[in-house]
Amino acid sequence: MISTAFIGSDPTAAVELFEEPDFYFRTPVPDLLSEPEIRALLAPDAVLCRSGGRPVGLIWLPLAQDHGYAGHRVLHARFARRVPADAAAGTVGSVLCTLAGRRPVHRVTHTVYGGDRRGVALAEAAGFELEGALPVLVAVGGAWHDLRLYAKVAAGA
Amino acid sequence: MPELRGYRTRDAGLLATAWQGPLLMATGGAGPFAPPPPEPDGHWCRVLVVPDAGVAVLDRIDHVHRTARLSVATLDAPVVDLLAAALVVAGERLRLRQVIGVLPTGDEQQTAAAALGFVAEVTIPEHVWRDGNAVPATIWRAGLDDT
Repeated sequence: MISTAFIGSDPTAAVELFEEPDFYFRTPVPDLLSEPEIRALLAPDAVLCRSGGRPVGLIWLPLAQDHGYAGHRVLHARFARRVPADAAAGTVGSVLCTLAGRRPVHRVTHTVYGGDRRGVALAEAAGFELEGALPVLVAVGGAWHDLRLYAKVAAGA
Repeated sequence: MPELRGYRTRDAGLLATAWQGPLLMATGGAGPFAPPPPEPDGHWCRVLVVPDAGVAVLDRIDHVHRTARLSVATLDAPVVDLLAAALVVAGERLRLRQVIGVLPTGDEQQTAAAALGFVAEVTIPEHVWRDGNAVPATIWRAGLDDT
């Protein structure tokens, strides 16, 4: 069972998640970041996911742009290796439902490195559709990868 | 090979006791009157740590030309192992093209540096202070995989 809560003003509990070299939450080199850099990545309205009291994942859904019709969100989501993709996807879905109940959401986009099998598994398990890929864009783990763009469009949008 | 990770606040003690200044390889601890430790900002200076063992500092990071200065310091762990690990991180994870580092000329560590692919480029007279004297230092350069 994964519980969720906003990080708020003190992101300390989330810092330990960045010890895994493939915890790609807004960075391609999570394990190499210093603590101030990690804290700078953790917005107060990011969601910290816990299981058994321990942090297991992060979800953040900022607006894609700060003007105009605010219905386009960008999903940043990452879970620790020990979290199965279906459990992670269920948590992402739950947070998306909560958001959609309180704010207009017509489109959510999510980018994943091409060689990131866990990221791809999460995107697909959460029901995101692959819209395209930018070839050979990011260098991660010693090799160049595509950047895959996934999206989910609200029914009737 | 030692596993390097990013600096945490709890590593401040290690950084203060191991860091001997911007030298490519240093071991044995900083001792009194050591230079102030580098402040990681992630943009121009990245501090990496092997907990309780040593630190690897990449500073003067040039994101345009993808170069940096590398300095590695340990308390008593083999400094050459940490340098080898830092080179892998610099090349494969941070995608730097080359790194440079400074060693006092004739330093006993220069053979180990050369074995890891460093090449002596320039010797500067009276460049570092050692045992009460200004002694010459050599700038070593390592080219990293640039693909």
